[in-house]
Order: sequence, then C-alpha cells, then structure tokens
Amino acid sequence: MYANRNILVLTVPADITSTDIAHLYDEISSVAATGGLQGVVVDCSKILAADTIQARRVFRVAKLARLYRLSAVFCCIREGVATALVELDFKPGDVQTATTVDQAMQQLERPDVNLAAS
Amino acid sequence: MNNITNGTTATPVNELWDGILLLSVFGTIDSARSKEMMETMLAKVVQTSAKVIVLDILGVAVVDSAVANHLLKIGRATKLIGADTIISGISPEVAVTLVELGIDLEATITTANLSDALQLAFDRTGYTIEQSK
Repeated sequence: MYANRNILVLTVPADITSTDIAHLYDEISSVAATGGLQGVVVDCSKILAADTIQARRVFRVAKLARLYRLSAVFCCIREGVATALVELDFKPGDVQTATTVDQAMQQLERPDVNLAAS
Repeated sequence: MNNITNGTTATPVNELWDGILLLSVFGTIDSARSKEMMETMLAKVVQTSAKVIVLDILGVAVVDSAVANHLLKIGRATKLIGADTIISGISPEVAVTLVELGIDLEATITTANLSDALQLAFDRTGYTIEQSK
C-alpha cells in the first residue's frame, strides 16, 4: 500500500481470502478517516484466477470508498480473469476501471472524462 | 478481411487513434466468433492501453437476444480490463428489436452511427475535433 498525490494505491493479493479483503477495507477506512484522500486505486494485477464471489468482494471496495465520498478505480485486471468472470455472468456494474495504475490515477485526477458517467 | 461464407472470420481491430480502437463487425455473430472477438479485443486493449473501443455493428445481419448477449459480454469483459465499449451502428430496426426483446443494454454506451461514437471516444480520451478555418 502506498499513498501518492492523495491517492491510495492498494494491491490485491493473488489468492484472495476474506481476511485479505477485511484487511483492505481496514486500510481504506483508516487512511480515509484521516482526510485529504482523493481516491483509491485497486491494483488487481496479482490476481490470476477469481470466481464471482471473490470479484464481488473486491468490487465492494468501491462501495466502501463511496461512504467516504471517494472514487475507486480498479486496474490491471488480467484478460483471462476478465473473460472467466464474464463467462460466469459477473456484471461489474458502474465501477471505474483502467488498464494501468497510471491510467487509474489520471482517471481520479480527471473525473470529468469518465465516459460511463456522461 | 472477414470471410463469412466459410465460417472462418478474422477480427481486425484497428487502432483508430491513440487510445481508441475500432472493430467493425460484419455478417453473423455466433458463440465462437464472439469468443474470438472478445479475446482479440482484450489482447489489443492490453497491448495498446486503449481507453475506448468502438464496436460498429452496422454490418451485422441479425441482432437477436443471443447476439445482444454476446455484445454485452464483450462490453463487460473490456470494462473489467479498463476500457469502455461504445456500440455504434444501431439501426432503427435493431433498436426496435432490442426493445421488443426486452434486452437491457445496461451501462453499455450506444450510438446510432460511427461519427457519434467517435465524438464520444475523442471526448473520453481528451481530444477535441475542430474545423480548420
């Protein structure tokens, strides 16, 4: 975890468990509570395989961030993971995503270019 | 070129502009072709770090619930890896069919023609189009 330009970057571990998720939620809550945070970037590059339950848990980070009036961007989701989740009928909903961490940060700094919101 | 008659279809994804990909689909979309399209698009998005994909379906012969479902899956998969999909070329007949079939295109962005899709794509990627004087 590191915070840069008031953006918190979190990396989801490869084999994600409910304990890991609880840890992620705690980190966001503790940093957000101090104030000054602009958004949260969730780096999913380490995830090599995921089922819909794990995906829902990870994407719930966006809901938690919203409680603190923060935006969350999920990035670096692997092609195989995306394909598998879609085949399992997983619907990402209105979450923000990006291909790289840099793009995710840019998205948080320039929320006006979010196409889905237009 | 797409070779629709013998069932072997290429899926050319063109990088239209920095961060914008275009896939023009012709003929019919079945499960195998949809899978091929999805894999090609995802690979190209990762390769180019594209932010927007324009999926032009003007040349698709029939859009029924199965085809709509394939398009939705492609849109969801590309969304997951970080790109937005704009489906363009929705003719009035296709629009009526989709509504009558009760198909909800959810958060998928749709436009009637390619130029509207391009305008949206340029907005998304931070470009503006201006007419030279």
